[in-house]
Amino acid sequence: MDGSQDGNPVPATAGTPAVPSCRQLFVAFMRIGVTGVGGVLPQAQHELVEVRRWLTQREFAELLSLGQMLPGPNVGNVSIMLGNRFHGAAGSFACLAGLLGVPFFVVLAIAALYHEYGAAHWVQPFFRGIAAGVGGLVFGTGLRLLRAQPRAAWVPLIAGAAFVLVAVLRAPLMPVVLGLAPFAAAFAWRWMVRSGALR
Amino acid sequence: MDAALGFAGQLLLLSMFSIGGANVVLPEVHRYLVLQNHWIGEAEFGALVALSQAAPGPNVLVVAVLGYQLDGLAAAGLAILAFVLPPSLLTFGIARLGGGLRAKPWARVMRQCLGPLTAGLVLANGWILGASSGAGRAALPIAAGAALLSLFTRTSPVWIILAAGAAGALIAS
Repeated sequence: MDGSQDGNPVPATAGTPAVPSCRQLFVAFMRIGVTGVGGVLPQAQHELVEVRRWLTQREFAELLSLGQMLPGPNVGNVSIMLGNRFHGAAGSFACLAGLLGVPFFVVLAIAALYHEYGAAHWVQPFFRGIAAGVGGLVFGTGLRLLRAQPRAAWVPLIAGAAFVLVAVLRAPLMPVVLGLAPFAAAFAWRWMVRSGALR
Repeated sequence: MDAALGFAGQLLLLSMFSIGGANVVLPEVHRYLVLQNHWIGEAEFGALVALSQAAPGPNVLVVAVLGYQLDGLAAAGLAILAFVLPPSLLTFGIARLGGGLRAKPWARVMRQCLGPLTAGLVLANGWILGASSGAGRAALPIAAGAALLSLFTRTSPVWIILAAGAAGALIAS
């Protein structure tokens, strides 16, 4: 019942990277956590897809979409699912502990520093600049995820509708997801039948 | 310690509603800590949230920072455990069940259709983060610069973030 038996990224074919150890999982997610300033999504994508190649861009998008629909931290959920795929419960624990453990102490140290120096005049604009930059980084990650999707007209249609509803009209997340998912599923099913991706 | 325990209890409940991440439940946390119990001041709350956004690590660590403010290190640890443990167990359970279903046709349609939806939601999240950064007219150029650097160069996000902070400080001065 281990996820690695039927998950597609790990079969032992030539050219596929070896299954990472729990230690490697821990270290990778620790790097994601410690270097992921302002949220870890761009870093997770960079590390898991581009650096370690444990997931393709599309697999990452799939895990992330599940991680976003479940409660809890998005990348935390991705780490749990990826860890389980390689090493079951131990893998999940290694990934999540790596992601949260060290940044927990770093962020508290920064909070303590902020109490000392928070009054300096450049501190607030510096944080606001960072917040704006984080927005840009996350937007860039979204564009990269979009680029990894199949070339079909329904793809930008669904993505655009989700963007407008949430970013412009500020609709709550759950109704948007539940409302758009049936349309997306119908489009995807038709596209997969036509392109022969289903059987 | 009463405040820390109360906060942790509140987080245990809220954690299962944090669909899309910690930012979703922040308004409720604000209501509980600032408006209802007056444990943290209004300005202080805003500053601590901004600090957590700008600090390394997942955004959920904001609850650790708020717990730390209430009652130190133990409260911070309690807060993060209360907030992360319940949804993590759920995700793990679903990951165990889901493994056998991955190859089923309907599961493949589900995964295929969720990709574009996710991309749209991530784009929206980036837009909202930039718009609510408080950087005013500087927000758009800084955000656009960060996005272009990340898309067309191999620059690590850490340097992009630091450059964005420096740009924010320079523009304001």
